[in-house]
Amino acid sequence: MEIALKAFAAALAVAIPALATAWAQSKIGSAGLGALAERPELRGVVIILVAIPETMVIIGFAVAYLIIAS
Amino acid sequence: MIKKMTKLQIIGPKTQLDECIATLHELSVLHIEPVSLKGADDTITHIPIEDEKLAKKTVLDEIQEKTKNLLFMLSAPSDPSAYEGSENLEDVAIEIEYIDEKINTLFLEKEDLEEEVQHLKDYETLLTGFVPIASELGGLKNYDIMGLTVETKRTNVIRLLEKEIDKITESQYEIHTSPLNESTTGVVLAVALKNAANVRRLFFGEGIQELKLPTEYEEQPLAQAIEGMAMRETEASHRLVKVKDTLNTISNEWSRKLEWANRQAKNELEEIAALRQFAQTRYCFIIEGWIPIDSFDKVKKEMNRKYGDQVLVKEFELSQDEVSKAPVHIHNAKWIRPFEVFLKALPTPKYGSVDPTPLIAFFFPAFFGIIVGDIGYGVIIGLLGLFMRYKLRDKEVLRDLMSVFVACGVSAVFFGFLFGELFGTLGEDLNLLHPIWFDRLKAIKSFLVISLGIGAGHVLFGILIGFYNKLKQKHMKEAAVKLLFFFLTLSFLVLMLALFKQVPGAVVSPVFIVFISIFIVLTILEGVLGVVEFIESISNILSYVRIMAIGASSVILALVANKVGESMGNVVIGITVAALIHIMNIIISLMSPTIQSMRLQYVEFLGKFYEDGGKPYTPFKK
Repeated sequence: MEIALKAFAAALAVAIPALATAWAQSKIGSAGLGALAERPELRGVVIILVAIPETMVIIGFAVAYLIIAS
Repeated sequence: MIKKMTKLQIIGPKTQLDECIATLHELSVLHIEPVSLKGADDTITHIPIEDEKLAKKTVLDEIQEKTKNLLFMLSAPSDPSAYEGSENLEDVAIEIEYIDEKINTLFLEKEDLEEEVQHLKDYETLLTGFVPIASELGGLKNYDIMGLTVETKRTNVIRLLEKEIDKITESQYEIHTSPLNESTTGVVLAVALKNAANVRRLFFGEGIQELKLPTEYEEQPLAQAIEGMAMRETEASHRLVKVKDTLNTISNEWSRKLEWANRQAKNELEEIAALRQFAQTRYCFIIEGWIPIDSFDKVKKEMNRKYGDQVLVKEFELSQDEVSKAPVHIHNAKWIRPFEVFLKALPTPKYGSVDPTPLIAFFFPAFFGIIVGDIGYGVIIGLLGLFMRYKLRDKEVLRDLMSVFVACGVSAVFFGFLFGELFGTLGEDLNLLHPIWFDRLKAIKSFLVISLGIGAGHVLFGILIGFYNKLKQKHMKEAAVKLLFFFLTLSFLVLMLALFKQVPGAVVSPVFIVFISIFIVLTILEGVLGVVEFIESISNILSYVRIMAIGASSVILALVANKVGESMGNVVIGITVAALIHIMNIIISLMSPTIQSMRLQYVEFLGKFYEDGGKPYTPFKK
């Protein structure tokens, strides 16, 4: 039971931030493409902006690992 | 590094203004600053552009425009070396006038012929395929033939169109499609004469452009028209070769000279335009601008050599505020220069701040290497980078980007040795390699701690650079705040280590007192923003977990490639499948570690000290 709960908790730790990241990236991505159509020189900045929300899922992954390893 | 600049003033007799401007243009180091007349008396005014100069400007504009157009019409000359003419630009302009009409006529003829040959080719392809259909119809007396072109990727339009035509003509039509080139498909349509007008109305309504058969062939029988078109195509092709030859001959003779004239006109126009930024008294001119401090002697020596005591070159004594307005000239060692490409996505840094390029040149490939950490992948990425660097050698930004990838490949090889990885675990399986530092697959916890350690070091280093920046600019309060941030973050990290029993217990109490004291002082000095910035620094450090996360997923994917390959049972199929998965992983390795490493530089590191607001150094140069 404990193992199952741990696995479930680890899955949630990745899944919820992954959904949040996807939602944030979809918003930033569409706004970024709009900005690129007007000013193509912003390419570098837009790539960085799209990569910013990834922190959530990456930290979620680390937390999931810690849950399983504990 | 951002080069140290100095502001200078050049004063000389007005009679030597033009020569002085030409000398400064030749020296190519002066960033002109408009002479400010604030507080000056009536004796100092801006230099007006005289009528004679305005007339010259009009002529030069014309020469520049004309040479640009002519160069567009001509191909590159066989001799690529630059022409160094000594003749007068006005004389060359007269010669250009003579050749201008000839080049224009030939260029227009070339364009017409190319278009005609292409059209005839398209018609031939279309109509040749249509001959059998025409004979099925029993001649074309009662039919109207129409031609259309459609983009190949949109050929579904033809089906929709056919449906409509079928309705209009009550099935009295024949259609033939044939690809004309990679992107275009040709359509020939024969409809009964009585329906032709309605079909054309449909085309008009749908915005479809009809391909007109050349007028001279409209009345001819199909076979005769095809024959006639083939003859005309041969004739036009021969003439086209001749016209191109003549243009090439003219190009070899004239292109270099035209380029020279264009360059000369541009230089002279720049010298006239620069006049507006200078000032004058009754007898003297005044020029002001910035130069790199190490070029000062060179400029002074050259001006002295040419004009002796007549022209005075002197340095300004500037206040801290004035110095901060200097243009920013970023100059790095040759091997660091490609990394300047990262600054192109950011506004120009402030003069006097730290140029992050050398730091990025170290940290970016290092993080990339730790994430990819595989000898095989590193070699492939490095070689690919070298090859693309050679291919893109003429495109500055892309060439620099490829140089960055070469450095990243080298770093991935280095860390591959430390992690004992060659195409995942293949090196270890073949007993060629063993982890020297740690095994990324087995010691994920160590990898996590190391990533956070790297993050802590990188962020703290960034805060220290921020402190140095402020100290250099003599902004003492801000420098003190940066230093307090440094110690606040450091004490917090020590307390975290104490939580995991990694530091002696005796340290905890004094560090806790330091932490609380600094926290209170910072909250008083910076308010809520101070607290927010502290939390941001901690989340910045946590963000370095991505080094472990992406690195672990890269090595796991490599392992999957080898395992899937092994399970295939057949050596050839196994190697092929494993190679395909490795290729996919390399492609991912090119994207993800690049973006993540870049983000760590921009957001986590540069965010701690990068100050924008500088103006780029644009020297007055030829």
